[in-house]
Order: sequence, then structure tokens, then C-alpha cells
Amino acid sequence: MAQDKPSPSVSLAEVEGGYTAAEYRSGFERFSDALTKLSVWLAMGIILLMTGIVAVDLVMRNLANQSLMIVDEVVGQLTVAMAFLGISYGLRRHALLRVELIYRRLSAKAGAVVRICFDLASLFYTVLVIWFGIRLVDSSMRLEVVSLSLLQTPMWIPQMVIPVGGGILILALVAELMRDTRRLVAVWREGGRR
Amino acid sequence: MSWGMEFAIFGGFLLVMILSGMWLPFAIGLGAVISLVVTNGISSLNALGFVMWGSVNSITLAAIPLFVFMAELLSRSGISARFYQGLSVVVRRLPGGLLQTNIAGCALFAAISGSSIATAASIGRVAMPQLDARNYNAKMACGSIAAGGTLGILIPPSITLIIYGTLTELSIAQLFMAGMVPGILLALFFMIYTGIRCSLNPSLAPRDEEVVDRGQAVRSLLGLLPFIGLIFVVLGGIYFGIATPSEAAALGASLSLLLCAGFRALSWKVLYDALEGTIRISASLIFIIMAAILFSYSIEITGIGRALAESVESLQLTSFEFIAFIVILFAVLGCVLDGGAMVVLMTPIFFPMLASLGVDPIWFGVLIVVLVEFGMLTPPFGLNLFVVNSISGRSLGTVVAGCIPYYVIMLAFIVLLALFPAIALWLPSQM
Repeated sequence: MAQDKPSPSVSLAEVEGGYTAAEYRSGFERFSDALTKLSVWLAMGIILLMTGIVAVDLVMRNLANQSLMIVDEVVGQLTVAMAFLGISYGLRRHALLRVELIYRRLSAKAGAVVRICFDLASLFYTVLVIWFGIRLVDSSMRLEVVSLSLLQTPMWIPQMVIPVGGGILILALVAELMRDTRRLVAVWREGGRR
Repeated sequence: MSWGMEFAIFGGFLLVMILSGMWLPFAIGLGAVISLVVTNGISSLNALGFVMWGSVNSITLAAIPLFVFMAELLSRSGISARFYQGLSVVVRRLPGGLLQTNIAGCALFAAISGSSIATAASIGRVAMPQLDARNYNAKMACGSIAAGGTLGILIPPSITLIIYGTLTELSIAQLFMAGMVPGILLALFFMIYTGIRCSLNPSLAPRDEEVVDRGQAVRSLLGLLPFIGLIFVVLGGIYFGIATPSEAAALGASLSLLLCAGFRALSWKVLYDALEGTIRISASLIFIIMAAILFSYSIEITGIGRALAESVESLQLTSFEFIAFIVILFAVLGCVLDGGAMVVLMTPIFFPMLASLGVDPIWFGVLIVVLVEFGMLTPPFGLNLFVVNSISGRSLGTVVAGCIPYYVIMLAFIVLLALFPAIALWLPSQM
């Protein structure tokens, strides 16, 4: 399912440009892009950290019969962080999977309208994710939930990645909505031809 | 509202969103949320935060970015190209020459990559210029890479099996080992077919006139050793119980970094590109898994899954009829859905039925992967077709025509797998 090549049926980064596209960007879009870049750098750091922690623990356990004892907990949390910090970049690069069987056959005008509908539906879902993420953080804080490992991490700290990463995703979706609205206006003026 | 009506509304809504082109992680997640609200009211969303957090807060899922990172490093540093050159010295004497190298190369690259697309792209980029320069038959060249690439998700590590294992809570290590023998057998069948076809018609694969002296051959073989060593450490670690799949992935990624440095192929650009590719692929996949677990949760909460399982039980299907139904369903769905989407959508529906039908869930995982492999080669959603189409510059028709014999081999292999489940189950039983 991992995608890295263009195809007529699946939208990918190379197909639709992402950062490489020379296009007008409003101040808000530049701000959103800057946050997305910052979050993807953090996500890259997380990948290196995960690689290091897990490999060191494996070697220590097999060669010195010692373990860091916290790897399962920390790496699970880092996986969530990597996903939430990296998803806005996937969106910006149009690297999220989508089926384009019908979408590709739409006129430019209908396609632009459909894109806006998808942006709004995705925004609605992301708002729900953030809302229930905040409730999770809030309940962990109120109930003083801590992890079961030696670290006894207050769980609201790693769980904060849901509202934070979700917030960056919301900004990226709003920026996407702005770009798609401009595209709709442009095709409307051109008469809706592909 | 009856469960049938609920299922029709829910499934219909989800299918419309997916088919009309909405991004999959949002379409599946939104479908799950709407089905929960419609059937059980807004209060059913209260557990959403816990389900989301619990679904992806898992060291098992960490294997996905770590395996992707390992494959990205080896591919972007150009080490996979060295490996192909080394392998070609060993394999090209077989009838079919470099076509055999393509399949053997894909099978070996599959042992460090969990993705079919990455496997086809990595081997295809190196192989296509050489195949063109030597006037190999275009259909055979494209078919061997597209079909060989599908081995990426069957031979462990496999991202598709990690997703299946996460959704079903089965042992990823056992699933990996279950994919090993079928993957090797399928690669052998591909090679036997290529050998027979090229022996009957030698013009398909011109004989290589280049003379390789013994020193060069030995150097090429020695060049393969680090790669083989990496595969042995990763898969051997899992098989012998020394490492979990996530640990093996982290060790493999660390060793790949060292390998790149050892070959003087590690630069900041290579590292950045590998990390960027890893995030682009993994974040999206993990979001899809989170949405799929929400989907699975909604099927459980709404009772649709249980009702569906009971209605299938009432049909008193034999396990053979059930498997035949699954094969036909995947073949039909493969015409409108991508393979990964089929796994995340179909597994929560069909998995609960396996126990009553006496179907082994590990074996079923392997079957689903072979069906997804089949889908990777069939238009209009066969992603490997588009990878090879883009790399080779040949028409899609040429690539599809080159794949036709491999469809037949894969269908025959599915029958073989159904008749002899031990092909998949023997190795995990030895762990």
C-alpha cells in the first residue's frame, strides 16, 4: 500500500506537485507550510530516535543481558507522534492514498467542486479527532493517569501529540481548501474546460 | 433499523466516498464515525479518543516506518544497484538471463523491503536500462519486473502482513514466516516459467556475450555478501526468536546505515531523502490503520460484524466455498479498490467468520496477501503496472500483456495454497 510512484488511479506527490509547484501562496498558506516543514523535521528526528532506541535495547539485551525497560512504551508513543506530525506533510505532498476512478473523469469544474467537498469532509473528521483527542488529554490530566513502566509518564504528555499534530493538519487542510477554492474560481472563469 | 439496512447504508456511504476520490484515511475514518452516530447515537463517540490512541500506540506498528526506512536507505543510496549487478553475474547464465536476475533480485530485495512498489521500482530502475541496451523482449522485461515486484509484500518483511496482523492481533513474526515459503515458491515458479519460455524462444532474451573473468565473478559474489548478511540478520533474528519484527526492523535500519557508510554511499541528501520518503509513506499508512481500527470498532459496536458472521454461518458454507467466495470478491473489488484498502476494509468483516469455518487465520493472511499481489498486476488499479509503465516508458498495454502469464501462475498458486495449506503453515509451526 505504500506509494511512491505516479499512476493514473492514485494521487501521489509527483503527480500534483506539492512543494515543487510554483504557485501563489497567501501568508496563511506560507505559515501552514512552515509549520508542516517543522513538524516533518520533528517526525524525521523521531524515526532516527526510534531506530536508535530499539536497536540499542536489542543489542544490550542480547549481549549484556540488560534492557532499557522503557522501549515498548516510548516507541509506541513515538509511533503515534511520528504519524500525527507527518500526516500534514503527506497531505501537502498529496501522497495520501485516494481512488481516482471517478474523480479523474469529472470536468475541471466538477472536479474542483468535489475537491472542496472532500476538504470540508476531511476538516470535519480532523476536528472530531482533535476534539476527542483533547477530551482524552483532559481525562488523563484529571485522573492523573501515568504509564505502567518505570518512567511513570503522565499520559497527557504523549497524548498531547493528537491535538498538536491534528492542529497542524487542520491548518494544512484549510490551506488546501484555499488552494482548491482558487482553482475552482480559475476554472469557473475559464468555462470549466479541462 | 435491521442490521442489513445499516450495513447497506454504511457500506454504500463508505464506498461512495472512497470511489469518488476522497483521501482514504479520512474516508474510512469518517465512514466509521457516521455509522457509530447513526446506529448508537452521539454518545458512542465518547471512546473515540481511547480507540485512536490505543490503536496506534504500539511498538508493533513501529515496524512499518522502520522497515520502510531500511528499504529507502538501500534504494536511495544506490546499494540496491550494486546488489543487482552482483546478482546478475550469478543468475544471468540461466535461460532468460537478466529476466531471471529481475525475479531473483525482486525476491531478495523483497526480503528487506515490505512494499511491492518499492521492490518493483528499486529493481526496475536498475534493470530497465540494461534490458533495453541488450534488446530483451519488452513484454517479458516489463512482466518480470512487475510480477517480481509483487513478491515484496509476500516475502517477509511485509507491510501488508503487519497491517493484517495489527487488525487481527495475530503474531506478526508467525505471519512473516508463513509468507516465506509461498514467496520463495512463487519466485521459483516465475523463474521456471521464464526459463522454459526463453528456452523455447531464445530471441526473447538474447544471450549475454560479455565474458566475465573469474576475479570479477568472485568480486561480484563477495559484493552480495553484505546484502545477504543483512537479510539473514533481519529474518533470522525473527525466526530464531532473538528479535521481534520491530526490533529486527530497527537493527536492519541501523545496519543499512552502516552498510551505506561502508560503501561510501551515505550523504546528508541520501539520509534526508530516505527519511522524507519514510515519513511520506508511513504517516499515511498509520493514519489509514487508525481509521481502519475505528472502522473495525464501529462494526463491532453496531453489531454488523456479528450479524454478518451469523448469517454466513446460517448459509452453512464449507471452507472451500468461503475461500472461493473471497477469491472472487477480491478479484471483483480489485477492479475498483486498491489492495491496501481491500485489506483494511475486508479483514474486520471476514476475520470473525474464520473460526466457525475452520479456516486458519495465519493461512488466511497469506491468502489475502497473494490476492492483493494479484490485484497489484491487474488494471485499472494494479500499481505495479504503473510503476513499470513509468520506469520503462513502455505503453501500459505492453506491461499488461507481459503480466498475463504471471496471472495464470498466481491463480494456479492460489489453488495450490488452498490444496496444501502446509505451504504457508509449515514454517511458523517450526518456530
